[in-house]
Amino acid sequence: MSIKKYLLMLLAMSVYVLAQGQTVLRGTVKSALDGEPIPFATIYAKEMRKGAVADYDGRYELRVDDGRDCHIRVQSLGYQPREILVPRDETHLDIVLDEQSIALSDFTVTAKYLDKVGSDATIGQEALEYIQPTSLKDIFVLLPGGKIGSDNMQNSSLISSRQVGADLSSSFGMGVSVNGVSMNNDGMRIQMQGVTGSSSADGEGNVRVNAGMDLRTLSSDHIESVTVVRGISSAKEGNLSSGSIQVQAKQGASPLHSRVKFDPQNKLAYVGKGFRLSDALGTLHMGADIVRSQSQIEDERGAYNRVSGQLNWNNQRHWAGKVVNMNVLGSYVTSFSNRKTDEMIEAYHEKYNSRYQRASLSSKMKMELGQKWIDDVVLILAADYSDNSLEHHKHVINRTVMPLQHSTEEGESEGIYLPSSYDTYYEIDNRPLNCQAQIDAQKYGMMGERWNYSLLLGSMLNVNKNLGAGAVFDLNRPPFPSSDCIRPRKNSDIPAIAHQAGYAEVKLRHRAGERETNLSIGLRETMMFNLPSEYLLNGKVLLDPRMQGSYTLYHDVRGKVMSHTLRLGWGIENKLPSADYLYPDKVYHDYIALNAYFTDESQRLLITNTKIQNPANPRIDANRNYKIEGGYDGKWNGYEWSITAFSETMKGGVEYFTTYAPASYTYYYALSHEVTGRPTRDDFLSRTMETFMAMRVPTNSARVEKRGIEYRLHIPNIEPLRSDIEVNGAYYHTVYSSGVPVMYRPSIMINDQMYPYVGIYDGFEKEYAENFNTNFWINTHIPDWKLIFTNFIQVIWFQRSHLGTDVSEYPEHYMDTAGEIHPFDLTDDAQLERLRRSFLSSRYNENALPVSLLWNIKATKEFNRHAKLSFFANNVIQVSPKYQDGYAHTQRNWYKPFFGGELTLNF
Amino acid sequence: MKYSLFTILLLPAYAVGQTSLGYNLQRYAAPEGSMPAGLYQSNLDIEHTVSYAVRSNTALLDRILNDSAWAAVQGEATARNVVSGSFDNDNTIGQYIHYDGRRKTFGQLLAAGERSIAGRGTLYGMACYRNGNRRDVSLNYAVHPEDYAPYLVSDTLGASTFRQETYIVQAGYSRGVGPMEVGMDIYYEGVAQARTHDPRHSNYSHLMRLGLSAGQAWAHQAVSLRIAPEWNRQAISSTSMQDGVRYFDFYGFGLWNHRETQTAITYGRVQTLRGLMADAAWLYDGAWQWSANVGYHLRRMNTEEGSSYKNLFASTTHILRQQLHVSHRVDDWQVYMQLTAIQGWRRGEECVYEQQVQDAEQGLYDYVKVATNRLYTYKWMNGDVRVKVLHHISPKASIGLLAAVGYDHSKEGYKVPSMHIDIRTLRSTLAAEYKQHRGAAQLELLAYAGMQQGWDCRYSIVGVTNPIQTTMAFIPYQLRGENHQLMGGSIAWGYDLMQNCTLGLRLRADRLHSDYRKVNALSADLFVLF
Repeated sequence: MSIKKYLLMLLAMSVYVLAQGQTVLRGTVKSALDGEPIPFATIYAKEMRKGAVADYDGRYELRVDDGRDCHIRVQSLGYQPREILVPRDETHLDIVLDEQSIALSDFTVTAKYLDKVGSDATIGQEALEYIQPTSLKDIFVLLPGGKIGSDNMQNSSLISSRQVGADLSSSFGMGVSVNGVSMNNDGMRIQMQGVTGSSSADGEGNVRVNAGMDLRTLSSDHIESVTVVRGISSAKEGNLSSGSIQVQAKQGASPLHSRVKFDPQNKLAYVGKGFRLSDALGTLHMGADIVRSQSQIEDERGAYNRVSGQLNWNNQRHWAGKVVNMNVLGSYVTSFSNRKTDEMIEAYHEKYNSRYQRASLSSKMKMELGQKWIDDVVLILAADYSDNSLEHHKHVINRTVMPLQHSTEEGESEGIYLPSSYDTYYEIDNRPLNCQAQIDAQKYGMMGERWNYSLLLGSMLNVNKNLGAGAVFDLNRPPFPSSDCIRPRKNSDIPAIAHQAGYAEVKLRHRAGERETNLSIGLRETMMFNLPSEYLLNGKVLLDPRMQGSYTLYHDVRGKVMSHTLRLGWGIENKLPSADYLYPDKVYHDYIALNAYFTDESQRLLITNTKIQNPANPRIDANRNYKIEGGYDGKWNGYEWSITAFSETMKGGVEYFTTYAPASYTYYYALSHEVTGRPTRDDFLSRTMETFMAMRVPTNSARVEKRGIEYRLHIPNIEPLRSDIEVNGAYYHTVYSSGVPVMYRPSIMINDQMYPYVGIYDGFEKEYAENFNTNFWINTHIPDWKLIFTNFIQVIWFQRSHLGTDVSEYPEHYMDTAGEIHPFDLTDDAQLERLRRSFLSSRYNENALPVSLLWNIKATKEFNRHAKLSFFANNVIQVSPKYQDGYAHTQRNWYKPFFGGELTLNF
Repeated sequence: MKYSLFTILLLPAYAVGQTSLGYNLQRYAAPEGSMPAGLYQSNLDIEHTVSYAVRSNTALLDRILNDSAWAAVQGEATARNVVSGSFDNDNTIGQYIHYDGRRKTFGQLLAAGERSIAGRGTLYGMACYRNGNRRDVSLNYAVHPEDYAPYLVSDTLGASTFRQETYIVQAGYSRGVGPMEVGMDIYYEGVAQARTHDPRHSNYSHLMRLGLSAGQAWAHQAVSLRIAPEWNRQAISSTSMQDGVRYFDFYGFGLWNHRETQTAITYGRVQTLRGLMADAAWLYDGAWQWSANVGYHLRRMNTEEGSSYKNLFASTTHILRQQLHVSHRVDDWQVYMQLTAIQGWRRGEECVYEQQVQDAEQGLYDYVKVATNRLYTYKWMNGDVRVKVLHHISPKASIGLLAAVGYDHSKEGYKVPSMHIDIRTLRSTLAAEYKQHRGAAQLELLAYAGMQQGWDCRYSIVGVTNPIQTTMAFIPYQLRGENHQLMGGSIAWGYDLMQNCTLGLRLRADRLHSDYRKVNALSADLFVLF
């Protein structure tokens, strides 16, 4: 469908609005424990897709459709959510909520799937508390395809979404938002090891770019619920390519809640409470936590220490007769014990300091106008500022003679020799300031007698500016001596990256007897600006159409309603490149033209020939991911089953891609005559050296294709076992490859010259990977004993990977030292044979892991209203047979035993 | 095993007598080693042995705890729940067993309780967290090394400090089903051990034991049978940032064979233990109270090298245990007698590998197992007889006297080269205790003294000059067969804050003295019983 037709369709739907008859439902939300009202509880009408917020005294008003029943979902922090069927024409309904407790029979610890058109999963507060997450990454194990992974948060590893393994682009493309405000670290830049984009120099991963939001900085204790979208995102969500993690922060009044979690790698303490201030001032929820995490208990240097605090203020006022809901959310995160040390650092008198702070503030105002054209207007303003600094006083040992050159002009210049060892210092300073403004208008209503609609129009603006100093080091004492280096520029000299977006989305629902149809059609446009005019992305409009639909059939089975839903979705998601990709620093190649090293320092002569390359890529584009998803869901009497098939193709993930360019310089190789004293270049014989300069250029080169099927079965309480069972799993097939030709040059000398050709290959070896797993959650709930325990069994039926042999050993083209590109023909030069890339056939053997199983147990005991003690043990049983890898070596996948406990106190 | 005899004597942390405070603390005490606590111990509070027998056979717990016909066996469990914090410090001057460490300093938090619901059964649970250091541990990376000896692994550095964090959870459920009593219990111990200086070492270990029991109880008699599979896995790794560090696999003994590993930078090993316990119990409560327990324990140990995943060593251990306990009350006097016997034997296996071609064309090789050597054996037996007399001075006070003698014999052997270590010892103990409960205050005092005499101990290895042999075999031989004297005592106070809520403090001190070493152990417990 062309974009024009798409827009016209949207417009037509948005114009066709009719306000049908509506009734106002009123009432009060109260606590079952003491009858006190629950301020700012949320009430959501499912059929109408419309919500309301109770006021300070728990009173609410909600417009519902005349003449039909309606399902509402009521929830508030610390209380068990309720779903209530409101009879038609009902005008008053008081709602009572129970405090969350294991003693309640409907206490659940699994993810919920509430969205009819998609596969979104919501993890509520009781499930979050039960799985005892240290980091948000831990929640992925609840989802189909999730697997037990790293047990600690110090490992800021990549987020894996619907794939075998993980890759940088998919992780970078996972959007994160808190209360509707997007969080990202796209303004960060790294200039380690002398070049932009190299991220591994600090060892512990304390500085991280281009891999997505660092989930360690989001405390799970400040979260009320999390929704994970891995399929087609709403048009409201942007600057993402792999779905989104939507966080709802804790809010409202609640008892004093404290949690202490401890296991060998993580120690965490949290305290939080929601205060009822007054009718005029609303409620304020405050929380703080402290975490110490180590990926390796024997490595004290690698510990990650974090303190975080959050304030969430809510109020509801009436202005000019309109209800206005206000929310201000502030949070602060800081690392501590920033000075890292171990005996190696101390032996060389080094110092290593890694510091992280982030402060964020967002305000949200929702006005319920109730006008003919607009029901609600939401305005969001947000800002967050991070201070991420890495300082290293380093001792450098050069095992060979290393030249030093820091000329900023091309051509020959005299350099000096670095000492064999020296002390130096470098700092990487990032201070991104991210600001966001967003306005949404929403309209709800009915079209005709059977169509419900909700319409969303919105716009947002995001500006991200890094105020930091970037890489700071002594140019005369480089921390990572190399012939390729940068002369770093400040992060504050990099322009701010800014983008705006507009979006429109229509949701329609049609219910006729036993049939229900849901549609969601949205379009998002995104445009970057403030880029250099030659950049492709400057002013380019990126369009993300997103459509989902479902058809549901209801019928009666043994007196209970059974539903069958077929759903289909299609969409495009764009992830914009980061500042690190947009503005890499120039690379200075310092070739040693003359190396006259003598014992007598006064006679030494070093001449280097500097070539300057600019790795900035004006053609860099957004990473575009095409998604299609279809599924079937069934529900009956507490049973739920679903199967989802999906396909994603991401063709242009940005990564640093090695390219080559020809270079030549005069090489002075031997004295032409005997010289006493310090020589000059005229005393040397010379010849022209022709070579190639390697440079890493941000390129839309990563290609990932994901296919798969996810399945889920939920069996409600089986009385003899006192257990409910959740079975989920997935089959994933992932292909990692390169979307652009790959360049390769053999590192060999021929006739005292570097090899004179660079091969250009049509793609690199593809990596094919697939796995199939099933997770069993057996949740045994014994309300009488106030005990709940979970047996988690993960079975990986198979996991296979192999490199594809469908690429030619020979390149399709080659480049010579003049920079000319020729079609590959062996008859041109016998030396071209060296461009053949051949490996042992065992390299292409399939690595196939046999079926494996692991069993985890988790138990929670509630003692009274105030105290709960939990214990978990992972890998209690692990069946992991040995196998032979492609190289005939015996392998086995062992996971370490892991265990820990948690104590929760409420007052 | 004999190795931890001193520890066992000190354990009855745990060394308390006939006291409400002591028993309420002791019945949920977390064990030090991998063997279950309670039964078959050389305990001073033998008046509670029957209670320990009931708790070890979970099936009987609900019936015996709640049936008034078994009041005499219920013990003095006046409190159902306990929360305690403890601090222990053991320090050795002189020789010590290399894998124990010279000094152990630990803090502990423990919470335990039980609850019975009429018609639904009894549920009990215990959670314990322990954190501390073992200083000057050498030539070993394993947790519970006595279960893996002699197949230990270590590096070439000297003694160093290990940090240990232990998580223990124990729970059980018991109820009647028709005429039968059934029970299920679970025990989990997780230990994380680390050394933070080079070479950096970590060991994650878990031990899980799942017990299923069934029994039947009549008015004055009860029988029970329990089967409990168990498994332990330890993931050991070590990384060196410096040159010159090497790792040793130890095997056999005698010459204390040790093989240097191929890699110097990192080392990894996974060692596992799989076992099965079977226990039977018989209780009789009449004019004389009788308790008989027999148990069989089988363990199969295996070590797997971490990079090549080859099985290196294995061992099979069989343990038989018997205990007979009888008691009788006459007026204000109670007499207890207990006989305990343990026999065990272990055989070790060493796997031999050969590098063989897997794919000649591509030059691929792998190690293939070609033989198994069974050269190591270890046998031991322990016998113990103890008698205790309790006299109730008044309804609120009592005194007690205990006398015990024991005999231990252990023998390790290696076939080629032929070597033996043979140790025989005799033990004797005398203990006295006093208990009173006046108003809201409780007081318990305990003192004991003991001695050990070794005789006919043989060490058939000549020309010992290798410091590794000295550390790993000669010194342990000396210490296990030494003549030593023991003394110690404890004092515990309790104050009833309200009904069914007691705050208490217990202090304990123990000392061992021999020609080779002096060991001082101090312990303090702060607890609440409710």
